[in-house]
Amino acid sequence: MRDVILEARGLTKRFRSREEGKRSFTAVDKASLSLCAGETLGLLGESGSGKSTLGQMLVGLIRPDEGTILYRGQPLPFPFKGVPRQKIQILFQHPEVSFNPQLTLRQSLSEPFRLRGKPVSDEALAECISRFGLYPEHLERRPGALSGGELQRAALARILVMEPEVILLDEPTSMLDVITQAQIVDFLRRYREEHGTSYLFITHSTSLAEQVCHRIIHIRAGVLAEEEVPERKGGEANEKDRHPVLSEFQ
Amino acid sequence: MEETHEILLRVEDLSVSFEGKNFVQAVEHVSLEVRAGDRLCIIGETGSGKSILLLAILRLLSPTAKVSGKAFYRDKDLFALTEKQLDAIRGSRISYVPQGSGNGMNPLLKVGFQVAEPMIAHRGMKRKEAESRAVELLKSFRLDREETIAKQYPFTYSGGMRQRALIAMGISAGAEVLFADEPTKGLDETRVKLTAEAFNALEGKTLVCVTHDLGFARSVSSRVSVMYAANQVEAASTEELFRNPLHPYTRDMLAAMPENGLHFRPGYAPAHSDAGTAGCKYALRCDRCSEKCRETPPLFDLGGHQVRCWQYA
Repeated sequence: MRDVILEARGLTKRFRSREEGKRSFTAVDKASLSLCAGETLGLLGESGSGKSTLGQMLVGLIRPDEGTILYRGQPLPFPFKGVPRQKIQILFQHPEVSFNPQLTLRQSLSEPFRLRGKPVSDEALAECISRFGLYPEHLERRPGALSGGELQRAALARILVMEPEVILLDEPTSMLDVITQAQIVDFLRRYREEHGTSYLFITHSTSLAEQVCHRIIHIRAGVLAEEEVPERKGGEANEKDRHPVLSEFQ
Repeated sequence: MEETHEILLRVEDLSVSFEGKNFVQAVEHVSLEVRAGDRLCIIGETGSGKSILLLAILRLLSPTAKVSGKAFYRDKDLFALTEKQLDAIRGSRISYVPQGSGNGMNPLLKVGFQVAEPMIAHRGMKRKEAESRAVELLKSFRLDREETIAKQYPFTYSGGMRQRALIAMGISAGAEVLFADEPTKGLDETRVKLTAEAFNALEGKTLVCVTHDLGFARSVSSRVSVMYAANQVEAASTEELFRNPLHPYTRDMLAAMPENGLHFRPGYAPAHSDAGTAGCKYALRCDRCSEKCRETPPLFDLGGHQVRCWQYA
C-alpha cells in the first residue's frame, strides 16, 4: 500500500442547538479513514449526510469535537499551521464564495504567489490561468463578471500555485455544465498522475464518483458505511461506451 | 397532435447585449415557439445566455441590457406593454421560479405566506384562504408536516425543500406558463428526482425550464433547445435529441456525461466579447470544422429537428 498522507481517527462533530432543552445534533460520528498519496478517495452521500462536515474537519476548516487527524503520521492539532496548512487545499462547490468579490482576479491570484514567496509577474499569472482556458483579459475582471465555470477554473488555478499534496474537492463540479465538469475532472486526473497529489472527492453523484475515484466510502447520517472499489479505479480507462456519439472519441 | 395546441409564447429574433466597459453579447437572434402543454428545457453551459433569455422575455433585466427582437404571450407583445399591463401577466399568467434555491425567497417572511402571496396579489384572495390553499399546495409537493412547515422561515428548509416550495409559489396564482431557472443546481440526486417529480405532477401547465443538468432535462421535458455562446444551436423533441443529437456541441455534451465516460474535446467557449462576431461559435472546438464555418450558419430545419451547423445544409 502507498504511504498514508492524511488520516482521520474517530472524528466526531456535534452542532449544539441554540434553543434550550433541545439536544445537540451529531453531524459526523466517529469517522475513521485514511487517504494515501496519489489516491482519489470518494466520499459519497446525500445532502445533510455529513460528508462536507467531515471533509472540512479533515482540512482544518472546523474543529472536531473528538478524534485525531494525522498528517504523514503526525497528529495535526486545530488550527493547522505551517507546512500542512499550505499543502492541504480546498476547491469549494460554489466558486463565487472562493473569491473576494471586491478584488480582481489578478489581485486574488497574486495572494498565493506572495504566500509562497514567488515573484508575481504578468507572465506568471498568465501562465497560471492559461492552462485552464482563461485569458489575460480575465485577470482584470471581478468575480461577478465571470461565469461559474470560469471562476471554478480560476479557483483551481489559484490553489495549484500552493503546490498542494492534498486537495479537498467539495462537490467541485455540481454547479457546472457537463463539458466543463469533464475538463476539470480530466485535468485533476492528469495533475494527480504527474504530481502524486491526493484528492478527497466529496460528491452526491454516484456516476461521477465511479468515474473518478479509486475508492468510495459511503456516508449516511454522519456514519461511514461500506467502502467500494469502482471498476474504473480513478478513471484510468475509457472503455465503456453506451451512446453512439462516443464512437467519435475512440 | 402537437400542432393542434395553441401557441402561448413566441420569441422572434431576440438578442441581448450589455454595453459598458466590457461589451457582452449574451443572447443572439434566438427564436422560440412554445405551445400549450409543451415542456421545453433550454440546456447549455454556464454563460451561454439561457437565464438571460428568460429574464429578457419577462423584461426583468437591468436597464443596462440592450434587448432587441420580439416576444409575444398569446397575442400580446410583451415588449410593447406598459409596466402595469405586464404586471397582469407576470405572476398571474407566466410565473418565474428564480435560480438559486438559497436566494429565491424573502428570508424574513414565513414560507406559507410567500406561497400564498401570489394568490393574494393576482387572484384577490383573502390572506386566510390563500394561506390554507398554500398548505395544500406544499402538501402536493411532498413537503411533509405541511401545516407546521408553512409557518417556518426559509432558512429552516433544506435546498431541495426550498426549491419545491418555490415551484409551489410559482404555480400558486394559477399561471399557465411556468419559467424555471436552474431548479436543480446544487441539489443531490434524490432531491433532483423529487424536483422532477414535482414538475411532472404539474398537469396542464406549460413549462420553460433552463438547466445544465441533462438528466433532469431528459426526465421533465418534451422538447429541448440547446444554447451555446449566446446562440441557439439545436432544438428537437427530447426523445429525438437524446437519441440522435446532431450539433457537434450537443454530441459532445452527451459524451461528457459521467455515465457515458466523461469524454470531451479540448477548448472552451469563446469570450463573451467575441460572441457577436461572424462564424460558427463552436468552430474552435469542433473536429468537423471546415472553411464554410467562418460564416455564421443559419438554423436548418430537418423535419422538426433544427440545427445550426453547415454539415446539415
